[in-house]
Amino acid sequence: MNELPFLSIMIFAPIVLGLIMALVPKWPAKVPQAISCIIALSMLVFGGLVTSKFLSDQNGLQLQQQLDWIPNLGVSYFVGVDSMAAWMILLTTFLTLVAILISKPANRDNQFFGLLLCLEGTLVGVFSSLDLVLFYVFFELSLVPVALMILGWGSGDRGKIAIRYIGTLFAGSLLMLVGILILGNQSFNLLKHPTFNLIEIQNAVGKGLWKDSWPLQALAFWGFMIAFLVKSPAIPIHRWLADTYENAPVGAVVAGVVLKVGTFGMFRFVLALFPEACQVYAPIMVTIGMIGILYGGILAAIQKNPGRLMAYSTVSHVGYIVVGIFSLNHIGMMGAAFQQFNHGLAAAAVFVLLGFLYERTEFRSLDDFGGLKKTMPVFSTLFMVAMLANLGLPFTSGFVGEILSLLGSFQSGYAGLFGQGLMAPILATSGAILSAVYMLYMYQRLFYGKAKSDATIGDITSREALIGGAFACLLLAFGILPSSILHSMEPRVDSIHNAVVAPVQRTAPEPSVDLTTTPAEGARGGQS
Amino acid sequence: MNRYLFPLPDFQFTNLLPLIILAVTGMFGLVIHMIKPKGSSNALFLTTVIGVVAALMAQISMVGNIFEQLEMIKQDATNMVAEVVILVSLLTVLLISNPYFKRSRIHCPEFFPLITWAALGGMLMCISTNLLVVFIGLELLSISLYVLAGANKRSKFSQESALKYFLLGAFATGFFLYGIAFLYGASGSLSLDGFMRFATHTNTANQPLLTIGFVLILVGFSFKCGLAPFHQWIPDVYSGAPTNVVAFMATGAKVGPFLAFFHLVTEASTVRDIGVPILMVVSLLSMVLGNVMAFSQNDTKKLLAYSSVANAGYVGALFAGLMAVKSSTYWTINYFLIGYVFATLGVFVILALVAGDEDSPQTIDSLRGLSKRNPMLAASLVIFVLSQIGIGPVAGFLGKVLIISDLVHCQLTWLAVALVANSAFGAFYYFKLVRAAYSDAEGSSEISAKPCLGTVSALAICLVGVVGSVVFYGPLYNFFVSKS
Repeated sequence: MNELPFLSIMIFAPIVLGLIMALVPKWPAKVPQAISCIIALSMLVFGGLVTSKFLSDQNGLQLQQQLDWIPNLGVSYFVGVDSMAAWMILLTTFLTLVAILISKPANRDNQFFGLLLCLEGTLVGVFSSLDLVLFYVFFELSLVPVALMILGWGSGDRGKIAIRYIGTLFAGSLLMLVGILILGNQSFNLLKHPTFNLIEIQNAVGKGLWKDSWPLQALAFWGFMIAFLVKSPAIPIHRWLADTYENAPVGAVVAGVVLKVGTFGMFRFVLALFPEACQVYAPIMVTIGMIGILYGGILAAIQKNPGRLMAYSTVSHVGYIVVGIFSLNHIGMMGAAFQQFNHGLAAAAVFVLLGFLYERTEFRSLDDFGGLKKTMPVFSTLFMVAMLANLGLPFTSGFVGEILSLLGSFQSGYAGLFGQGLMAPILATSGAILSAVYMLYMYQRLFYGKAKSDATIGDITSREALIGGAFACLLLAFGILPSSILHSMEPRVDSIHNAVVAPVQRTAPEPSVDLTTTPAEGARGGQS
Repeated sequence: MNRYLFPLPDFQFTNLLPLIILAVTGMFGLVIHMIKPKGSSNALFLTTVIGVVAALMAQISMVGNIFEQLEMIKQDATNMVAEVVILVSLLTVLLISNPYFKRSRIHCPEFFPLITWAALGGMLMCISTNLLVVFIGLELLSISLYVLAGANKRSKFSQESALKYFLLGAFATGFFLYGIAFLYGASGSLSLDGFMRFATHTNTANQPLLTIGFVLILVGFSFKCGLAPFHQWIPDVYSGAPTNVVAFMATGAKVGPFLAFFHLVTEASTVRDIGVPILMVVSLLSMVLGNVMAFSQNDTKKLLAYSSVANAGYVGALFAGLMAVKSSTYWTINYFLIGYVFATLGVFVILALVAGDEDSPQTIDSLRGLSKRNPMLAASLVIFVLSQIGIGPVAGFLGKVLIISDLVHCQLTWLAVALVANSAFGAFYYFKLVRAAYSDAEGSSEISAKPCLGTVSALAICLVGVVGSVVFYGPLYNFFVSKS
């Protein structure tokens, strides 16, 4: 391989430069923002280059790079991208650039922008790691910059919220570590050499990695799933998101929290590594998703704070993704893959626009607003597009993801595939009404009626309009022409779909589960 | 054939060069203090640092040099890392001590010789294969620390801490010694592998004696390592003693007992039936108590004390695993100690820097406003705290991964799950330190937090330990493992 190690540059350049910027004191005003803007822009270009590799017919893993790291455990620094990861990386770099452009931290702006860059690097690391331990390291590390940004620049009781953020997500992901090490141990027993290489383990799964070790597979599956469900977030652990959306600085939310790392993890790790468990637990997962859609929707409808409203709306939308993934058929998974990309974009659009509004007024409750349509015509138009994309109107990108996910779920439900029924998809579809309710409700409270305060809020500046307009264009473009993403993701989703469905269909028609099976005998006594 | 009544044993003194250098350095320190009783602290500091650096260099040059002497001392791959860790942590503590003493106006010239000997005791524990030598090391370590806990003679907290430490420590020593006696009675040997010899002799009548002896020794070690339910002394002693002394107590002074414990556990497979359940209970109890109690602490040193109990619990879980499958994999414990020692030490370096001279326990609020006054210090605090929690590419994380990996290999998956369930608490209480450092100072923080050269180099050592040992894990592993 003689091309540039793009991924490593995209991981480490922002982290190193960001750390330097954060730690060197005394910058002139505006300089940190300008520098980080340049860095983020070049990262966006890199991201575009990486993604462009998948626009042609190429599929499979690209830009692989592997270095030894922890020899006795078989952990290596191993990165590479598939098409889904490439799109997520592109989204990350785009959102980071936007976050840098819209942020106006009150003080210590070198630290703020430095942390944003570090966040970008760790997120690219999350999306490109092909080693389980390396993934875990980045997965946890990406919590830290956000927690520090909440601590330094958040509102409300920020200390408590920062601790809740990092504590909840850290606690949620710990069981995944056990899952990872169980995988490592199982593959050691099978392959006779220690490895955490995702590709190798994935191949080993096809060769009977989980033979006769159902309890271990179930434990590891739940370890991964709990981590990803908390991170996404799905019910019942979603409180942290509401607090974070309400109080974190907008830049941190846009750059780091709206991204669907959790569902990405389900695609990359859970489906391919635990095929039997996925099939057995698919009905439970679909139910969790369905409840999330309804519960999140109902709670979103009664929120007064726009940030909290968006949090519950996110819970609801993550429900669609989970339903789509665990329909375990081609259409549903395509829809979920599209929706996880789209929701990052659509939610970020709403937050960016809310951020513009927050800069102009001290109010944070929907009760205090009203009649903004008169004073902010441009803003209200852009907000309308972002809102419609969130509620999934046809010709916006939200529609594509939702309809495909639900279609997949209906298909599996009709066929009775993997014990799924029609109840979940029917209820989930009714949740679409809820999303119209709370989104239109928010729009009405903000823009129509009488202005509640005397102070008029001016319209957004042209620079802000440009950023908002970019989001609106993207949301419409992906809604009208979703094929660019869908086509490039299709081979990847196909291979995941085959990995999760194929092995069991080959061996037995029904996933036969014997809960009394003992763990594999003859584990090695430890490395010496 | 022997020309002497008591033949001089065939003993290679050069093998013990690091230990000898440490002992001589301590004595030299005493002499310096005698010659120049007043204002000798700088001279003492310099001599001791030079001595410790010399010992460290001798130790590093001896990596890969395996020897066994008189059936009492054995240097092999299992303890090379640990000895280096003890010496480096000693060096770090020395570097922060002089400025700390000056700032808190503590006059304690005997600190330098005593802490050197404490480290000597710890190193002796690492390399000895004879229970009596272990005992000598333990006493050397403990007695030095009893005195040092009371180094702040003006503070009643420090005095209380020293007294509590001494009384409880002496009690635990009694248990330990009693256990040795039982073991000797059962196996006729004082050697650590006496259990194994006993197994070959198969004298079943003595099995109860052996078991009692093992349990008593276990109690002694549990006390010194701070495993629950023998951890009661830790919070009080840590809270009252001077910060730099606690820094050593919590780090370097733990390494020796852990290593001796490790050697015992890997040899004692004959008492596995009783040892494994006890170790499981003790480690579970330590994890739960340590993490739960740390939750509500507002006194920084008590928080770190309970966290050290929790960390001891993780090591205990590893020991249970090793004992259960008769494994003697040594790398995990050594690497975990690297992570634990340097992250803890780093936090203490920063605590010593922000400590005021008022005579009261140091609360978390003493860290307030650190990020404004010195962003570098606050950033290093974040790294140490992350290592303690186990987030990111830091030694604390990797140490935990190694332990969990070993537990999974030992088929103790449930213990691994218990371990991670407990460490889930970590983020909630450890992050309080970061929160304080990044919140605004209120009122009384006149401390400049201007680190001097010694403190900066101490911080650098800790950072290299925490981050460097992860980034350069491969070379480190090869250096210590392939050479031996």
